[in-house]
Amino acid sequence: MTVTSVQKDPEALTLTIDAQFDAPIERVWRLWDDPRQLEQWWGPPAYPATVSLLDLSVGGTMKYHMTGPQGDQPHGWWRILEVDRPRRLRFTSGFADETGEPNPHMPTMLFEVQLSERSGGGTSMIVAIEFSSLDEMTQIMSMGMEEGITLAMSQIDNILAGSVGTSGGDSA
Amino acid sequence: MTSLAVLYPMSFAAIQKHVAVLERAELVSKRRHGREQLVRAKVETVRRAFDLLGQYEALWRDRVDRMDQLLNGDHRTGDTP
Repeated sequence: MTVTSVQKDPEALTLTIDAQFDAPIERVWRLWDDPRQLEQWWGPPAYPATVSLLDLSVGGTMKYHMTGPQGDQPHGWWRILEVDRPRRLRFTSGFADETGEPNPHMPTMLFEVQLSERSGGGTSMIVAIEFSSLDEMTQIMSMGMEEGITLAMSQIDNILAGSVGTSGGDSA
Repeated sequence: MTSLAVLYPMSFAAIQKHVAVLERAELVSKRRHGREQLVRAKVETVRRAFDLLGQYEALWRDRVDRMDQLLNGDHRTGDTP
């Protein structure tokens, strides 16, 4: 299993994900550092992400938007707080208006990513996400729900995989 | 709160600090009862926080799966004609 453990701390409003990859640390870092790589995993298939700016240096910014099935385009940003490539990345993440300008009235989250080499080869990755309040967390999740992003995404994947199979058969 | 301080190997001031943190996170509520300050855990709040973190966990499990697919795709590029 790629995800080896998940800790949910409802008091600290923190989620910590541990994952293991066979790839070397430099390669895993590139998933975060290369905009074309990042947009391939950040958004779910139904909401592909487009990264328009990625500057992983302290004070740097990442700007992105996702495109939904109805053409809706939620925008978001990261503000980089700490970088120690290829081992550590800390950033604040938030939402933006349709021009990509950060929306100060929307909730933010704090991310900390830590990569390390495993003794037997491969890379371990720890991603810790901290929410600032229960209200903000509720707001983020309800937005995700409306956009179908957080609602059982694996199910959405399966539905899409199924529909691709069917339409492929029909069109042939 | 005094009885909390007796239960835990901490000073009263330390207990007060911890309770204040939990109160800010809406995980406990304080109520005055005569000379006592009663602290009550908000079970519903903890449950809600846990559920929301669970939804976010699902989102991240899917992201990690996609990361893994990308990394595995590196090896397969040679196979494509």
